[in-house]
Amino acid sequence: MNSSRNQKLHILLVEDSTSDVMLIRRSFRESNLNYILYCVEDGEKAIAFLNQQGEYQQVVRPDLIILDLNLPRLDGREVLSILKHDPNFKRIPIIVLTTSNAEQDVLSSYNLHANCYIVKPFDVHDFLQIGSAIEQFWLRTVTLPKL
Amino acid sequence: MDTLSILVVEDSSSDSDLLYQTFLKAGKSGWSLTIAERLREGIDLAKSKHFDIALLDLSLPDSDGLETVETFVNAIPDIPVIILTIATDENLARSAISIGAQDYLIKGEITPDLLVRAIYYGIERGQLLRKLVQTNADLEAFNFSMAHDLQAPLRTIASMSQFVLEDYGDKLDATGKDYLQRSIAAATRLNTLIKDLLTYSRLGRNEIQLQPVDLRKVVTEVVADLQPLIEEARGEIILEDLSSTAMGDRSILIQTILNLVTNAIKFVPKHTRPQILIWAERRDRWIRLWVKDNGIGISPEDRAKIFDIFIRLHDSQTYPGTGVGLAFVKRGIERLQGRVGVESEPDNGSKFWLELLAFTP
Repeated sequence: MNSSRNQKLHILLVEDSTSDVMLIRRSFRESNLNYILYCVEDGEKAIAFLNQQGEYQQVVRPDLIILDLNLPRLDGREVLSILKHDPNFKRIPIIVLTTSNAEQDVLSSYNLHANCYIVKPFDVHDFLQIGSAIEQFWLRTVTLPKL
Repeated sequence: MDTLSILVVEDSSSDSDLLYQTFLKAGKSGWSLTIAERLREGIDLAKSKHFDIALLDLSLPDSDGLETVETFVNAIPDIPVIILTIATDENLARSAISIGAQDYLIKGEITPDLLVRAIYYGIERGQLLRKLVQTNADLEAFNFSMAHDLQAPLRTIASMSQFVLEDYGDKLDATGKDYLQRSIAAATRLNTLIKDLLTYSRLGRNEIQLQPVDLRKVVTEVVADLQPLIEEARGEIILEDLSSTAMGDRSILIQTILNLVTNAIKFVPKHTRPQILIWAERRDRWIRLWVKDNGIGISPEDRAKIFDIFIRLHDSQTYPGTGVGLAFVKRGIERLQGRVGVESEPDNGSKFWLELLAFTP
């Protein structure tokens, strides 16, 4: 048994579509994941959140980031590039979760050191599996770095 | 009075003098000529200042033949190019046109009229071509982002309808549930269409390098992918001689063959088990791949249009589809410099074929 299974996983979700936020929340609720989910709706806020700036001074550093690619203000690709070039943040696993299945997006995300790439499934039941898939892999299977 | 600035890349000074004299005879003393003797020098000049057109000799001290055109056009795509050549090299000059030159002039036969006309036409054609390339690129980008942006809201429509159905189903009567199911089915169909269009639009956007492709390998891969569909239709696929290697692109070929075989499984009369035969044969420089089925066949009137996009010959209840599959096949194979076709009679099955250049080691 992995000792970390009872710890709370802090997840930062960067997603501008409120219905997708709802879907992801529901998906996590239906999993056995012990988690706290923080949501921000654009790239600038994601960077502010991580740097604990402005309204985010009291937040904790997330264990895992779920990142949409097409975001207002600061694009997901730029967020990815900024975080993976920052020695403070580069070891936080980033899960890209996007509508795009374009080869170009897959390739450039991995080139920017995304830790994995998930295409948002069209079927709602498949979508709801994402929470337990993340639980299964990122909480039960892998060992995450200590903060 | 018009002024044009012309770059002449020519290492023989007597040839460039002759050109200069011809310009004077044409009354174009106002045009400025800049002479470069090497290709490298010509490219550097063209990068540093504006020219309306370049006259390019094919044999230069640092480059020879078609390579000269290729290097120049790649480095300076915006300037139209006219090739200067000698009479015995006319074939070479024609090939130069196919890789980006606008025209060619044969040394010793260049009259003032001919020179001036070639230059005006060259500039005009160059501009049209640039506009065409730009418009096509814009259109492809538009299609792509359009299709892409449609996907996200569509997924929301389908998911939310599904939630209403599942979470509030007990508050709905049969008609209410039926309405929601229809919404979900329509959203799902539209999503398939958008995905097909995206695949189709990517065909025009991506650069393609022809590479040897082992036909047995790709066909086997497609058949393995389609196994569930084949089993569901209780069909059978027989692979005959496929020991050919053709020049193509693996992922386009896989999608193409997938579309052909999926059609062969789909378009059978009710209660008929699909029987599909796939083989390849050599025809001169070409490899022809056949996909033969025992399906409903295609009438002669319909055969001409089935490769057009959005053409569907059947209602979506009997044979669901988006009308993109065969359009992809045609455009994909054409992008691989090949051809497609079909032989068919109604009620007598169809034989679709595609032809690609044979790989010669």
